[in-house]
Amino acid sequence: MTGTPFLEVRNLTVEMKGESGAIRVLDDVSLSIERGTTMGVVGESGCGKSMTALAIMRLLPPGFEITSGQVLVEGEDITHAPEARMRALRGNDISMIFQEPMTSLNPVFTVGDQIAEAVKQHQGLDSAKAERRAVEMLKAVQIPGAEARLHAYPHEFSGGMRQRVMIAMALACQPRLIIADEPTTALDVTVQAQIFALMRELQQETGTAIMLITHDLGAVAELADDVAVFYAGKRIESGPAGAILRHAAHPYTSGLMSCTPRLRLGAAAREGAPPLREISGMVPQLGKMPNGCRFAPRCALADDRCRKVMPEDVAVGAGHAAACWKAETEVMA
Amino acid sequence: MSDDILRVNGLKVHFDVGRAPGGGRKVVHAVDGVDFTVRKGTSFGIVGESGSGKSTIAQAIMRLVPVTEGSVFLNEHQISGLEGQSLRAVRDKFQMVFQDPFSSLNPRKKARAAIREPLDLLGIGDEKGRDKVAEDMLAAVGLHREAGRLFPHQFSGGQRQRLCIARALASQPELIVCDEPVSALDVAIQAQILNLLRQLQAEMGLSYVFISHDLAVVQYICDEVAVMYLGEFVEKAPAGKLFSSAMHPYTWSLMSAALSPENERGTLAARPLLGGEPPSPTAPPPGCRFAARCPFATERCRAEKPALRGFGEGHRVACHYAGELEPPIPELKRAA
Repeated sequence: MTGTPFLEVRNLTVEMKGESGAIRVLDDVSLSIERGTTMGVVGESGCGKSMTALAIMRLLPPGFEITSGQVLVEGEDITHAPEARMRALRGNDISMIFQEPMTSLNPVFTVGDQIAEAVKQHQGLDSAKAERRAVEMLKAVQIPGAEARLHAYPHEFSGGMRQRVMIAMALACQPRLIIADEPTTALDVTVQAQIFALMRELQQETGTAIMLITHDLGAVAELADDVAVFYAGKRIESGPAGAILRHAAHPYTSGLMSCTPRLRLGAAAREGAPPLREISGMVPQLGKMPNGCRFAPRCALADDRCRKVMPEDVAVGAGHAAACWKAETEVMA
Repeated sequence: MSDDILRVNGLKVHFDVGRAPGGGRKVVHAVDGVDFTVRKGTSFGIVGESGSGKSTIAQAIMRLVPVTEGSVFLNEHQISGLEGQSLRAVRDKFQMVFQDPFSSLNPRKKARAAIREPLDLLGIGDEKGRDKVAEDMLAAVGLHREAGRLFPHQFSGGQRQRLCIARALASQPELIVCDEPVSALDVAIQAQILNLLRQLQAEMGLSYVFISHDLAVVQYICDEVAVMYLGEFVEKAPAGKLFSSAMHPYTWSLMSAALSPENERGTLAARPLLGGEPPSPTAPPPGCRFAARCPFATERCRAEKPALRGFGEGHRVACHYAGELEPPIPELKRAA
């Protein structure tokens, strides 16, 4: 069992074919997720987080294509697996929770039908058994009055309840990996806290691995074992969550840390707010990437080499790598 | 009290949403009696969950929704009672920045025209003067003076929010109502906009009503903060006071649910978390509106509505047991 991680993405490159040639949206991305663990994937919008998830699921939008690299599920290369194999994997071994609980449920079917559909398709259960499973799943995600709510339509649920339904659907076939794409972004903090507590609990019970895509470093600190940081289509830092959040090696990661406002409670609240650092400028446009390090134009440490030559991953600690020419010296200092 | 720029007294905004089953009308009590004042040059923050009525307060101040009861004074003008021309005459003094910089700019208007629009509509200055103001405002929010020739789609999200701020600044307002101005932005850009808002306030002496669901953001910007639940303020205090010694169980639950990159893994899971969701604003419960979700609630809470009571230094709390309960947050205990 040990040895191969559950999911391994190796040197994945995804391109968008357009009139003016191919534009690289993911460039040489590698990451791996061990069984039963949570990987936080962070970065600004448009940096390739969701694209990585869609490439893993082989659900890339039309015009987007994996041009090199591999996606391995328990050692099996699924990069070019036939569609029938992908259908067997999706929902069954790997399932996905999308950002918008308001639009990812079908408004004309009851939530019970939508949960049951997945288990009927993938596990060949009959209608009665599938319905029983749906009730179990609604109970597992702590929806009160599960039997009665089975026959309710999505519009009869609040946002938090709909996200619970999405989680119930994702869990119904007992997948070994759940890809959660910003699962709480549309929700209130109190409901977000409930959903996170639920995800942890379910992970402990079922041993599923989770890939948590988020822009919130607080969510990463709460849930993740490991972290991958994305910038402009590249995975620029990865490693254990504790190491990255406490000793970020890439200037972009430490920049993200220092521009997140912190809530200061108790005695600390009586003092004035310390100034919030900024990362100046913005993410380069797709197709207009700088030659060297993509973060160089916004980086205070950048020198000529950074602007000319793309840095490779360097090891900066146990299982901790950063693609930065300055990473080593930074860690020494 | 001449140093108050905004005074909101007993503000109620109710929406009639149709017939109720069994006769009568169904009414959403979006804002149900709130009072606050904003001192010149300071920021007043309102936090709460979605549906608590924060944005409705913003819209009521801006006169974008009808005020059911109560009054809103901007300096000496009762803006809640003004109509037509007399309302337009004071419009230049209060402006708004919306949450979504993508839908709040007209895609067919160039940046300069968008920033000029309030001046055009209110008839302030002449043609040349308005263009000059537009350019100055672009510079003030950190955009290039020449950027006025571009259309909104040529700007990024953060730049668009800068445009929206420039537009709000064009008529030289004294008060800007910001409704979740950074929640649609990435963290790196959010920090830029927050710092810009602080810098503009320091330079121009602006006052803000700042609405957000993010406590850390509110703490960074605001001098005074109100916590809102189901149409009412449950706690209100100067920021330093609120974040060091909050007394309302709902405020505590918002604080406990807040995430931080410094937290150990599973911090949230170990905290007592608020269950359930807010009840419907069409039929608010008779006693304390938070009672159904409050871990400390008693019979009295469910029957009798608590009033906002003073606890010194401008700290007001609407809870029967305020000051008697033990906060479940270690930092607050130590400070007390």
